Amino acid sequence: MIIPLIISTSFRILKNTVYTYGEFAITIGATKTQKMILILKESYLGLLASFTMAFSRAIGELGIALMIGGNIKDFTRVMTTAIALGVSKGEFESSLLLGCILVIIMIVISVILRIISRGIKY
Amino acid sequence: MNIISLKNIYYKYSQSKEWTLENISICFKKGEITIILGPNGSGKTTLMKIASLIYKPIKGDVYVDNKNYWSLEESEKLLIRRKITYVHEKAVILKGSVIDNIIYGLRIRGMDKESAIKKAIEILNELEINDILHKNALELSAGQSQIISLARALVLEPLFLFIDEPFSHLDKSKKMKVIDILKRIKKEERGIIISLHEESLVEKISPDNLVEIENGRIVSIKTFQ
Repeated sequence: MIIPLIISTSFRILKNTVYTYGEFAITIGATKTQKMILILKESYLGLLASFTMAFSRAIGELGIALMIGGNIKDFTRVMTTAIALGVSKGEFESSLLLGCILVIIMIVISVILRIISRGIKY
Repeated sequence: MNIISLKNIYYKYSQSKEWTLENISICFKKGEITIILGPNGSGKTTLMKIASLIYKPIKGDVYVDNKNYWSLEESEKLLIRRKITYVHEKAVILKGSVIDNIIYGLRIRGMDKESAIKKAIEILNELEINDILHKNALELSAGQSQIISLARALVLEPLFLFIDEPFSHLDKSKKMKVIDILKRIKKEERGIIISLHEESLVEKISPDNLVEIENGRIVSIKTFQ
């Protein structure tokens, strides 16, 4: 369900990079492989942002997880559906705790992606 | 590699109904400076991109030393391509430092980093911009970016150097510096093709050939001695 979002944002990023850096690669005498590496190097930050956005959407998704997964205990129950179920049952404490864990996971992943994006040197 | 000839070239962009270039035949020779002069939108850049083997013409042939370039094998094309460099009007700057940008072309040709940096520093010294060596290239001004993209082409020592509007963002002293370098390169038996829309600079460059283009057609070709 999140694939169309990744494709549309990544396509836009790659389209601009391919136009500018693809032509530049030809002018400087790069091989096809070198051209591809250059395009990926120049667009990786944008691509990473696109994946982060898609991941954030996916991890916080409730409707799709409920509709497709069905919220079956020990089988298709995920954090978001467990939180929703907990709230409807009046188990606010455990739901709040799960919510906090979800936020922490997102923060940790965002920090890791940030470190990766800074760490990759051209 | 001594000569690039264009024979009866026609070109149009996919969105366009009219020809951007129509029936263009011209030769570019080693050891000569050729200026392509024309107003904005006259087809200078397209002509330069076809002659520098970036664009494939829709009709007509491009010969490099009597070999039809677009019918060659990929490996042969690459060998020829690496002897030609094209500098965009709007500088294309890569992520990284100034030195990373300048050595990129050398590195993809397999030169080791130390030798590449040494060569890049020579060019930067000649252009008097060695103070920005380790600066982030994406933070440079338009003029500095233009000089960097020129330096990146010069360091490759191409047999044919195509430069699209090289002086558009440069101050007077840098313009003169670049003109001096181009004249020095010409003496090394390299071909230089420059596109311009300012006629005032023609005299300063003192080219061997002046090609005037309008509405995608060559209006005149003047040869100076």
